[in-house]
Order: sequence, then C-alpha cells, then structure tokens
Amino acid sequence: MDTLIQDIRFALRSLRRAKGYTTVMITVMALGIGVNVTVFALVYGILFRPWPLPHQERIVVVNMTEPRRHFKNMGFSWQNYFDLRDRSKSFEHLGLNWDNTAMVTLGHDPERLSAGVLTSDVLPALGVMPVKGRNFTRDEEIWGHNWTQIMISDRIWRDRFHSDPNILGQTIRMNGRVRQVIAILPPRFRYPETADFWIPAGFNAADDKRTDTGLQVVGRLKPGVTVEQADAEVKNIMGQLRSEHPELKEYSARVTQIQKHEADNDRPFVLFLLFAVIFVLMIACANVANLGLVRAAGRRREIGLRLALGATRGRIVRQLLTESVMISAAGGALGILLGYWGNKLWQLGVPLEFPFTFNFAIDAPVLLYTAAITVTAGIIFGLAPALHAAGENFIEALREGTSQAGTSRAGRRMRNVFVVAEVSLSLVLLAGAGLMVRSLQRVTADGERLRPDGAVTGQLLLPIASYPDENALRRFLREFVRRLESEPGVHQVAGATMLPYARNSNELVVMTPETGEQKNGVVSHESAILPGTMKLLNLKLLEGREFSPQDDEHSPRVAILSTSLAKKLFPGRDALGQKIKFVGQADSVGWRTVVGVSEDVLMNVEDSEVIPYIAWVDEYQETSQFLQILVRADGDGSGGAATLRRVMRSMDPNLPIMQLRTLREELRFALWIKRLLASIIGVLAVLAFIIAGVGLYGVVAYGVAQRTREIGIRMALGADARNVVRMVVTQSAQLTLAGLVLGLLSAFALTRFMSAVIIGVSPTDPPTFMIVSALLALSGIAAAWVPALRAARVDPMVALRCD
Amino acid sequence: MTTTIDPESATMSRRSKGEPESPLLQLENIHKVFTTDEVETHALSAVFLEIRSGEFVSISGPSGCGKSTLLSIIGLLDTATDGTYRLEGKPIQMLSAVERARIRNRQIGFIFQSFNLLGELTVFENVELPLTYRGISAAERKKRVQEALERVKMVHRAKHLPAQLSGGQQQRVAVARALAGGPAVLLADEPTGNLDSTNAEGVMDLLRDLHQGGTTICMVTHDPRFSRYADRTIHLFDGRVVDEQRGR
Repeated sequence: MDTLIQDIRFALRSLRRAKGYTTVMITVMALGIGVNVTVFALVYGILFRPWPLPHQERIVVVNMTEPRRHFKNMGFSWQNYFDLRDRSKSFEHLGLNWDNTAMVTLGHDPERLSAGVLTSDVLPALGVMPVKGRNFTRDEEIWGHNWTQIMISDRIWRDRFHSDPNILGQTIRMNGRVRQVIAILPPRFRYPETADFWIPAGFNAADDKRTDTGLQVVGRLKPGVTVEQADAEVKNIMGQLRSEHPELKEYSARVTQIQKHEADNDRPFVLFLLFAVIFVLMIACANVANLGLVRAAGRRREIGLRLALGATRGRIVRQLLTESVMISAAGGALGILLGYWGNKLWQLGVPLEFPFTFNFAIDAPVLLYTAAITVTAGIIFGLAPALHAAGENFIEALREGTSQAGTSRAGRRMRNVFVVAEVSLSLVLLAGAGLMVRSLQRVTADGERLRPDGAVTGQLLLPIASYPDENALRRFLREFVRRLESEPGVHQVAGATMLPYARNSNELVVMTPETGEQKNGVVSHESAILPGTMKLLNLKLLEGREFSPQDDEHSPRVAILSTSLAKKLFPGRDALGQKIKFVGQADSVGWRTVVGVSEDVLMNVEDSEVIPYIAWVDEYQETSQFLQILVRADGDGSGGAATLRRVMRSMDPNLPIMQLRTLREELRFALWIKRLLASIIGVLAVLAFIIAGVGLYGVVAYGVAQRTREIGIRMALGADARNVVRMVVTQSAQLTLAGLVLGLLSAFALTRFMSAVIIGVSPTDPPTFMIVSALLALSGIAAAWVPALRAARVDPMVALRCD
Repeated sequence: MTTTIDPESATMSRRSKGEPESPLLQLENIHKVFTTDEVETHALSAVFLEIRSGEFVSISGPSGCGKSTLLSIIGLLDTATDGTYRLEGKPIQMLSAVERARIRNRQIGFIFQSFNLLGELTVFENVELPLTYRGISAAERKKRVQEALERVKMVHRAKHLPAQLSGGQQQRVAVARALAGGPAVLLADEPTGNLDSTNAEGVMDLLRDLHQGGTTICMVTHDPRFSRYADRTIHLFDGRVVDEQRGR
C-alpha cells in the first residue's frame, strides 16, 4: 500500500512536470471516453436497460411468422388470438393491442394524439394497473361494447386536466365518439409507442379473417416458464390451427422476450454506433500509447538510474502504469462531462418523442462502463510503453553514443505499429461515415425528382364514427378535392395512403393468375392514390395511363405497377391488361387490371433492403380512412397550406389537417434518423481523423527530433534539403500506406454490416473508399510536412558537435 | 552572385608523393565569429591555409582552439564569417545550400570521431548512402561500395549492422563510406578519438596507405603520435595558425 501511495505521489509529480504532455494525453482520452459515454448511454438505454415493468423478463411478444418468406414479425387475427389464448398454458395473461392515431378534442380544437387499443389482458401482461379507476373487461372486447371507455396517461391528467381529482367519469371526444374516462395509468407509462390514451379493442367477426396479421399479441409468462417452452407451445398450437384452417398452412408463430423483440430493429443501428466509438477509443489509446512511448524514450536515463539503484522491472512497469491509469482516470472524469453534454446534444436532434422504455440517463451502469473502459484504456495504452521502457538495456543506452541515442529499433517499430493501427481504424470510420453521407446525399438528391418545391402535404384521418362506410369516405374525398381544385392558385391536388421516400410503408403480397399459390407472390409496396398523384409527384408513367375519375367504385378495379414489379410478375410480356390481386384481400374485390407501368421509386427510406416493387391502386376504389393529401399551388407552399386548412375547416370543423408540411420538409423529416446517424458517425470520424492525424504528426515529429543527428550525418554526406524532406515524408507515407491497406481490407470486411443502415449505395462504394483513402493519404503527407521542413533545416554541423 | 563548381570534374586525386599541384583548397583570411546573446566568440581569426592535391595535412591544437570549426568550414558544413575559401580555384562562400550539399557529396569525404554510421543500415548500405544522393545506378553503386570495402578490408562484414562491429571496424567502414564517392579530399575529425591504441594505429595505417595511394587528407587530431603521419602539421591556438611543421 505504501509503495502504491508512493507511486501515485511520484506519478502526480511527474505528470505535473510534463504539463504539455499530460494535457494532450488527458484531452485525447477525454474525447475518446466522452463519445463512449454518450453512445453507451444510448446503446444501454435501447438494448440492455431493463424496462421499468415488474418482472419484465417474463413479458413476451408473440408473432405470427411465414417461414417461407422469412417474415418473422407478423401480428395475429382476432380468431387466431382467441385460439392461442384459450389453448396455451404458458401464459398468465395474453393480450392483444395495436397503436393508433386518434383525433381527440380536449379543448376547442381536435388534436392528433397517440392512442393504444388494448384488450383487457394487456395491462396485466405488462404488470401495469391503473393508479386510479379500473382496467378494461372482457365484456368490453366486443365491437360496439368498446365505444364508450377511455383511459388516460398521468401526463394528460396532470397537464390537460390539471390533476383534477374528479377526472373519472368525465368525457373526452375521440374520433367522433364521446368516451368516459375510466382510469389513469401510472406516471411515465406510454405503451404502445407513445400512447396517451387507451381504448378497448373490440372484436368484430365480420371484419376478421384468419389470415389477418395486423394485431400485436403481448403476454406474461407464468412463473417458471421459459421463453423457449412458450415458443414450443405456441408453435404446437399453430400446428393445430394449420390443420384446422388450411388458409394458415404457410404460417407459424414465435415467442420473443419483449425488450429483445423491440430492440431488434434498432440493434444494427446502435451496435454500429458502439463499434464506431470503440474504434475512436482504440485510436485514442493508440495515440496516447505512442505519446507514452515517446515519453518513455525521453526518460531512459531516469529509468536506467532507477534500475541501477535496484528497482525491479516489475516496479518500473507498475510506476509507469500508475501514471497512465491516472491520466486515463482524469480523461475519464472529463469524458463523463463531455459525454453528458453529448447525450443532451444528440437528443436535441431527434424530432420525435421516445418510447417510455427508452432511458438514456448517465447513471450507475453507464458510469460503471466508463470506469471499466477508463481503467482498461489506461492499462492498454500504458502497458506497451511501460513494458518497453522497463525491458530496455538502459545502462548500455546511457553509455552508447550512436546516432540513434534516445530511442531504439523496438520502440520505433512499436510506435509505427500504433500509427498504422490509428490510420487503419480511422479509415474504417471515415469509410463508414462516407457511406452514410453518400447514402443520405443519394436519397436526398433522388427525392428531388418529386419536384418538392411549391407542394404541401398534410395527413387526413377520417374517423369511422363520422364516416362509417366507404360511400361516406368517397363523398368526403370527392368534395374535398373538388373544393381544393377550385381554390385560386391551386394547380394540382392529389393524395396517397403512402408517399414515396417515407419512413414506413405498406407491404402486401401481389399474385397473378400464373403465380398460383400465395407463396409464389411478390412482396410489394402498396399505396392507394388519387387520380393525378403521379403527375403531381412527377413520377413518369412508362406505359399505359394514370388513374382517372372514371376509375371508381362502379368500374373494374385497376392497378399501376412499378416497372420492376411489372417485369418480375410478367417477364417478357406486356403487363398492360394483365390481372393481379393481393394476398389477404376480400374475395369480393377480385382481380385488378393493370392499366399502367410507372418508373421505380424508393418508397421506404428505412428499408434495410430496398424493395423496388410497387403496386399503386386507386383510392376511390379502395377508400381508406387515412390519406396524405398533396397540393401544388403558387408560391413556396404557405399559400397551399393555408388553403388546405381553410377548405378542411369548411368541410368538417372537427377534423384537423395533421402534420401539415411542405413536401420538402416531409422528405427532410423522413430522413431524420439517417441524418442523425450520419451526423454522429461524421463527428466520430472527424474526431478519429484528427486524433490519427495528430498521432501521425507526433510520431513523425518525434522521429525527426530523435534523428536530428542522423539527419545531420546524412547532410554532411551530401543529402540536400529535398533528400531530407523526401526521406521524412516517405517515412510518413509508408506508415500511412500501410494503414490505408490495412484499413481498406478492414473496411471492406466491416462496411458490409452497414447495409442495414445505408440505402442506394454499395457498402463497398468505390468513390467513397477512394475519397477517404485520398483524404487520409493527404493528411499523412500534411502531418509529415512540418516535421520534414524542420528536418531540412537541421544544421549538418550536428554531425561534428555530437562527437 | 552565385559561383558554381562542376562537381563532375572532380575526381579522386591520385598523384604521387612529392609532386604537389596548385592548391586544392585555399583559405584566405578566414574568420569565424559565434554570437550568443551579446557575447561574440572568435573561433577563427585570420586563418590562411592551402592544401594541395595529394597532401596529408594534420591540424592540431588544444581543445577549443578551433580545429573542428576550421574542418567544418573546409568541409562546407559551416560558412566563414569573413574571408575567402576556394575549392579547386573556385570561391564557394556564395553557393546555395543545395550546391554546397552537392559538393559535400561529390568532392568531400568525411570521417568522424564517433564514426557516425547509421545504426539502422548495414555496412553495405552505410557505404552506399552518399552514392544514393548522387543518383548513381544500383549496379554502379554496388561496384563502388565493393571497391571501397575492399580497400578497407571490410567486404566480409558487408551485411553486418554497425552494432555488430568493433570500434576499429566501424571506423574502417566510415573510411570506406568517405572513399566510395571518389572525393577530392578526405576530412577526418579526430578519427582515432574513440578507439583504443591498437585500433587507432590500424586506422592511421589505413589513412597512410590511402595517402600513399594519392588521396588528399586533412585530419584534425590533438594526439602528436598521429600528427606524425601527416606531411604537414598546422598548429592552431585561440583560432589562429601559430605554427606549421613539415615532414614526418
């Protein structure tokens, strides 16, 4: 203990003496640890932090699956859910839910708010009970019996009802229905997604088919039942259902722990970030280790003297490690501060509310991780210089008078290895950031084809209570479009259930008479559009025609296919006049005739694998409650937005236009995750690039300082300034080149894991790799340039002076 | 104004002893003043010196008398504060750094007290080093290095690193390096200073053999035993030439 205190005391004194060195080391470590704190808080918050629900390890999600198509996350139909609930023995509770957007009137104007639709088993399955009032009952799970109840969040109760103690029994108008508040749910609870209201889910036999897959099932396992046991039981039940209902022959099911299930989509994204920051930390460690080697070389006499006075090599290693861990600890402390700021900063870039299960606090687990990486980093970057320093023959070094005094071949080699590692890790990060930026650029530029300027878009949600059938919906839409078109300054009016370049999409399986079984169908995006939508969005029609007002409920059903889908379904044939239908559609719909072929367009920017297949159908033939209205009008879009609002008010004062934005803003919004990710990776890559550049500069500069005498000798032997500059730059270029080769190989191997987060760009995109390689090569030369010029000014007299 | 010397015209002087030519080096009224803060130190004052091709000149004197400064000016490692220095009749004080480097490379061979071999390079590569700065082809370099190593009897150590050689062997390699480029003059700064007496004798015998073969040598030494190897010994004291002795 005494010797440890002595080591610490000596380390403090030694570091205080070398202020510049200490400052640089602490700063580099703080940057490396700081980004780790920020990103680990994010990773831990999404992947590992237990949800704030009792025994959350027993909460599971049950999905239908379609193994042949690799569909793993499908929902259930009511009938399948009932069978599962009644036959299974693994679950304490098995509930059914989905999220919904609801038009809620709390004050004067209706608002679009997030709502959850639940059966009575969902809350017990999650382990949540109302803090006031009661849960839904099974009796309320029947269509018609579920129209009058509503639960509200603690937040809504506090903010909108001013914590009114008599809230129960008060009424809220939602989607045209008046509901009574029956409960307040616990503070912070928001599920599914960010729901603030909950209404009962009601079974309507007329509206349910066995092959429906839209309803999410959540359950709580009985104590002692494992996820694997429940999974086996569910698969067994699905086997029974397959034999009882032939239409389910392609389906199976699976059980997943809820946090694991929810994190599945985010895992590639957050793990990618985690790898990136670990890379930055490794670069920082390599850099600091290099500085440590430099310093150890400068302390050879001191260490030699200690050895001569009887210190063991182990004692020397411990002394030097104490210093490095202290530096790392200081860097860690500063890094926590930087990480805290970083944590706040990136959250400012998120335009949405997080689910209640996400908690990015920098608390004990994050601090524990920080402590672990701090100590590990301190040992990693300290060990190499310490072992090297203690292993050298210092007595000989003190005696020798060669031109390499003050350093050794092994030390130089080790420093070079660190620099090569820094450059290669930087290249991997830069390549990753470059691919993200290229992907973002590509998608953004591609979105320009929609001619977004002058167009506005807003969401329309027609509540069933006010618009109970297809005719009511059609009547509203026709009149709405007619009024908009008659407004001065409005040039085009259109609408789609799914716009291109969106963050989500509707995927269905398209069949033809030839494909036969549903397994041979093609998974495609589906969007119902109003006539004129393709023209407004500037999408080219390659063959046939666009939908017209004559394509209505009385005429045969029609469809337009993207060119890729047309070629896929009808290879070598003209698609026009061919028939298609969607798997799962009502039998009464029948076949649709292909009347046009459009160019391909990216529908979902979040797709990990782009699906170029799109089937456009006619909104007047489909009618949906939700539609994204588009208006192209004079000016920058503000006029169009005002017109949309005014016309909507004239049609139905209780209906707002939601998320009213210019089309350009809509495209920008759709890319926020990619932009945020690109920004974070970009910052990390720039940081890595700077740290690596500084590292390279440090090694070259130190090399020049160490080689002053050698350079003097070379100059005495006839080397001129150009020879010396070339020699120094070549040394740097060799290290950079080695780093580039290693980095390129690593990047080629690693960036393919990025395919889930980049779109429109190959993970081995040659221009990106060329640009980042050139950038690093230039930085290698730039880092060597100043030391090289300094070397060229070495006085050849040093060859004599050192004698 | 810059005067250039055509280094290609310079070749190793191989003249028989007793046939001195016109001065190879000519120093007239050379002064060297070092200024540190406000203190001026006169390292050399009014030095006149001529060295002819084929001569073996020794410069001696006590420590700090200016021997090494004079040698560094002769070797174009440093410039005089005042005075004229002619090499093969051409003034060199106005030459650019690049031209001075070219002359050092082609007309001057250095031998240092502590050998100054580069530890990273093999014996062969050390000897080859000045030739690489001259842009000579690899085949020609190999030939010249081989010849130089043969002259100092170190061919068998060509692949060794300096650390694997004795002090005497290292100095022989340094001599080979100085010879390889075929310089007009060999400048040796205390070439025996870091050697024991046996190795020192060996190196001096080597220099004597080279001189007998026609090589011009200018050597700084403070050891009178080795001054005797020279045709002429210049004595410096406080930066001035105070005496000159001829013959061995």
